[in-house]
Amino acid sequence: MTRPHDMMPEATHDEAARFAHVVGLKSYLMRQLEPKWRALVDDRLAPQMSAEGLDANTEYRDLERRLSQLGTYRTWQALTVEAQHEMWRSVGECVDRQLPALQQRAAAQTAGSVRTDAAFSAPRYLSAIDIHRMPGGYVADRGEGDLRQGAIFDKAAALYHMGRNGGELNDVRGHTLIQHYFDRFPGRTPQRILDMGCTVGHSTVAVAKYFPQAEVHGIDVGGALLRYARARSAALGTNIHYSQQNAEATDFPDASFDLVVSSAVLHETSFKALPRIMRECHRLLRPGGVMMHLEVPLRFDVASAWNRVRGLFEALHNNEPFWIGAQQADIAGAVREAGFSDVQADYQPAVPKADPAATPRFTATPGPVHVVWYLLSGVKS
Amino acid sequence: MNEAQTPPPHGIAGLDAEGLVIREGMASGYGFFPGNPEVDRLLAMITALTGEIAILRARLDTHERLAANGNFDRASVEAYVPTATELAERMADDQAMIARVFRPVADELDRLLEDSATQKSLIGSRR
Repeated sequence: MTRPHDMMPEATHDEAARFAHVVGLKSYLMRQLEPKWRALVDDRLAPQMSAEGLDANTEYRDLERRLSQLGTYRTWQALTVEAQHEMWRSVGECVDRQLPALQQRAAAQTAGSVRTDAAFSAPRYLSAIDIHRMPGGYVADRGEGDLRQGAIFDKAAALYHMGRNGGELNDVRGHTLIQHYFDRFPGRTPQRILDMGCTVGHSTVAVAKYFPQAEVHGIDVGGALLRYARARSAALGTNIHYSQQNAEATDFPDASFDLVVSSAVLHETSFKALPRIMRECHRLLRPGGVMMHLEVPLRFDVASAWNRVRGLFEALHNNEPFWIGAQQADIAGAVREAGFSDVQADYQPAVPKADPAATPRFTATPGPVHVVWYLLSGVKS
Repeated sequence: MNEAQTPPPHGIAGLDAEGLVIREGMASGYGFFPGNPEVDRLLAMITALTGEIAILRARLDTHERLAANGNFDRASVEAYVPTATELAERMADDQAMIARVFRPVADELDRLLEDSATQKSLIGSRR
């Protein structure tokens, strides 16, 4: 396979075959086995519960506990977790074999900047466990020059999304954010842009390319992620400034930005952090500036019983501690309380490329993950 | 019903004050069959073995395609990159292999969909 940029780890014949198999295994579990669980819960159990005067949607936790008594359910859980472990193991081995070469290639990339802080401490919701079961999580960092965690995240993310987020560039969410911006604020050209929780810059690069004159910043909690992000962004022809910071309280001066965005970050925060992040976005924007957060399009109020049970699996076994909290949180309320006006929170269809001339398709109708994204935007008046 | 008698590896999730579900042992790993950890290990071994079979099949596929053009050596195998069509064929073969290996799980799920007695045990009762 042609590499999408010079920083992407190279795969040997067998590594590439193993990656394809990991995708195949995940696909089998998700597309062949999971629909059977969905049918059991939503089509068989929920109606029977309803006939007994029970509501599967509100009793999803008890339902999950009873399902967990089934050996077959545990087998499905164990296999799903094992597929995730296989992904991290196979990518980790591939990256470790070529780490010195990757570091050399990073050193050869000169554009952009990265500022890490050895004394930085990540918030509990990101440091207490390894989100997605990625060994070391977002925060693992071996110190100056280390980019291992970033290289692993970049390669694995392409497998994780199984091609549904823009292949190896993983940038559909960035394009989708900008489509929303074009739809809501036609003709604007932001001069200073911030991407919060940028990891390796998948969306940051996509956003930056629409506004080549803008100064673009990305923040995240992991030093090794950010060093890789800087080199990757440079390899993709952009000039982006990365810094290791907490989105709840950054060190940028007031009114630093015209546009602040995030991609699938809010569900990895907490009830306490959400309003703080919204207030920080408000502080960082100039009057008239725009904030946009793209999120997983699963809201609890429209989730079926199986969606809720599956959400528990994601929270408990794919190590997504805020998965269920985020789906129930009144994010739009937190945005209004932070002082934003013109707040909108609905679904934006995913696009591989934003088009300023496209007919706006922002919709109140939910859809599946990767087909639509929940998009929340507001203006600092 | 052929069920494990041990309790699930976690209590029912409650959100803490920050809206988080952070379970003990989440970071260190755990099994889904706490009364019988060999089952977890066996599932991990079977999953790993399917990966090894997949790589063998991909390598064999590379050999067959290279053999069509005459002489080849280890270096040409290592350097071989399947076309998009060839990769799609390999992934379809891999899906079929995975489905054959994990068929007992899929079969049991199909059976559960028709098993009204087990379904009745799953719906609970009004407290």
